[in-house]
Amino acid sequence: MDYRLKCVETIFPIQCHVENANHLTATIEDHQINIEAHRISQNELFLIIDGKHYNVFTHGNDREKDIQINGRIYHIEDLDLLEQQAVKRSATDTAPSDVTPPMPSIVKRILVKTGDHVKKSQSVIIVSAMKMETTLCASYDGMVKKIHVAEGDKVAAKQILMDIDKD
Amino acid sequence: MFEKILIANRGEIAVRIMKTCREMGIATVAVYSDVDSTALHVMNADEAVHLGKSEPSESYLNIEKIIAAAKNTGATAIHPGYGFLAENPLFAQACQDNNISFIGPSPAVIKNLGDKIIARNIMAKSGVPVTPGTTVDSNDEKEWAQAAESIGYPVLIKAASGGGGKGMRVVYTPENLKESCETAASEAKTAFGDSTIYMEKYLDKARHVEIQILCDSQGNAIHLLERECSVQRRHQKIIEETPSTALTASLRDEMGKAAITAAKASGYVNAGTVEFLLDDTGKFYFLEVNTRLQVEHPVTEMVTNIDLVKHQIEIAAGHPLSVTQNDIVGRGHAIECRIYAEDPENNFFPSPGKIEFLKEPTGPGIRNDCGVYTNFEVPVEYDPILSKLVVFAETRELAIQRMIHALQNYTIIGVKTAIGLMLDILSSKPFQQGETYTNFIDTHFGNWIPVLSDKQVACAAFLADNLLAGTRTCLTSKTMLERPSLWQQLGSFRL
Repeated sequence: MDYRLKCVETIFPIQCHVENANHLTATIEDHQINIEAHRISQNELFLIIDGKHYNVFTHGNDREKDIQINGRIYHIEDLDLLEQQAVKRSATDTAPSDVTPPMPSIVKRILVKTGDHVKKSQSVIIVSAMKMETTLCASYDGMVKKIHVAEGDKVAAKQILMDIDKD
Repeated sequence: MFEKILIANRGEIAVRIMKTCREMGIATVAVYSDVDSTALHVMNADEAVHLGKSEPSESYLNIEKIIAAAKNTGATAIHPGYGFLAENPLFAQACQDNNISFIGPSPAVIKNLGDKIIARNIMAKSGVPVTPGTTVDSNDEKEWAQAAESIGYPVLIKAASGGGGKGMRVVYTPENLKESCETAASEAKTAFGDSTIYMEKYLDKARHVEIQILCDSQGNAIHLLERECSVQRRHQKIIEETPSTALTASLRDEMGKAAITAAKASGYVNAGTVEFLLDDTGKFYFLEVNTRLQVEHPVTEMVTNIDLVKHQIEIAAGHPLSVTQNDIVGRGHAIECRIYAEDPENNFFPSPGKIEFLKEPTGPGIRNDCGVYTNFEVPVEYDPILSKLVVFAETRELAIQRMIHALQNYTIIGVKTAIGLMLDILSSKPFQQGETYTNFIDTHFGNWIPVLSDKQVACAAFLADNLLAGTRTCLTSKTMLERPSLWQQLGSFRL
């Protein structure tokens, strides 16, 4: 089986063969490795790779996973599977210029109202997560078209909090 | 001695306090909000009282409800932990008014020391050195500018009722003064219900060294050595240790005496911490007194072999201190890493969410004060601390190695943590050489990205997880994958 796995910024083309129930071989970057693997729990694997022991922890799905090894987390994506999904997803992704909180938060204060004209970098909304306040700013000059939230609302990361029509 | 204690807190500190209560044969009452009905502190308590909605004001900050919970359950004492109502004089007063012992100092002491401006004045009068600077008790913009000018930039804006780095801002240039004051005041208002702020000179190269004190109601006061807490992000400690590499025996003695002077000057009773800034010439300045159990108290417990919570409870019950200054001897070295749900690659933003998998490290000299478990949802409403990993070893070098191995064996999946960053800090030369100043992270790890040297192993793990027998999904081909995960469904959600 051929894979293209992306680990952080590196893409690894991999050929992989399942030898038996607990054994696979893989060729990564022209280097063949033997992997003996035992599942300890849903999130826990014991691996012996070329004789070396690793206790690794996994979480995710078949397309992407977080793998933890020795306290470090490696985010891995299966590029072939993700590309199949890409078309569906791109249509609704948020743009970097949207007014969105970086983490799940609570809306503390809304500093503008519908119809207001705002300048680039003007503070428009203050959110608070775990007692830390973050001020969100307009990323361009424009007019506040619609505010989707009220003070005190709980909001998700990347949720669009207001629409600003660009001048 | 008390028969039943209510713990007016949540998370790891509530769990830790309950452990000592249990050892002392004291029954425990937990309190909780809507989101915390199956939190660890609730499950660990003998009984629990539901306070109300998840907002802190409806639950853990609600004095009336907590006092009622104590009365209804017959608890005769309340331990406030840290944060929430721990340093709220009105809460201590309400306990007193209802014949409930507050495990901490008196309302008057909390009030005086909680007001950083009054505290500075008490210390200055008793001869305890205070940070260079001035106190301005006003909200007038012009007065702020004048004060900052007279102290000289950079200045540090602090909340008068502050603590834990909340409402704190460093200002380097006059242009940023107004906005920083306003955000600091607003944050202070949210966190402490008081928007008063003040200003100090910001020392760039200084260490944060604090002295643990214990004072009984008979007038005995001792100190339990120092903790160095210079490794901070957003003015909040993340790695603490004792002893400090910067203290000689005579400086330790001098700072210990200053801490006891500070305690006596303020009429202190119970456990407390006197915080100092120590500059690189060995001069130290009073910062503030924390009138509660500190987050980082375990490192002191490790090297002194003293259970601080046990002594807090005994003092609150009116017992005299059962140890004297001569009994306090530090052995070995202890380090604590605070494990928060936060993203060190994204400005340490909080990272609430569900803990998908948790495995705590164990082994000789390892202690993990933990408040979460696998499948627990870390709420957005409260402080993001998950646990405190503490190690103890014969020397600092051994303690560092022990901490590195403990961190490597600490698995938290589902929320982001700074474990990777802590591994790099502990492995770094400046940390190992003890070059720890309060600007440590900005100086050495400002634009930190994780060192990932096992990418191929991670790829192998990915494949093994997908392909081998006994896997969750039992995949046989790469085509049966049209089943989107919850995260992907949420990825493009609009509300």
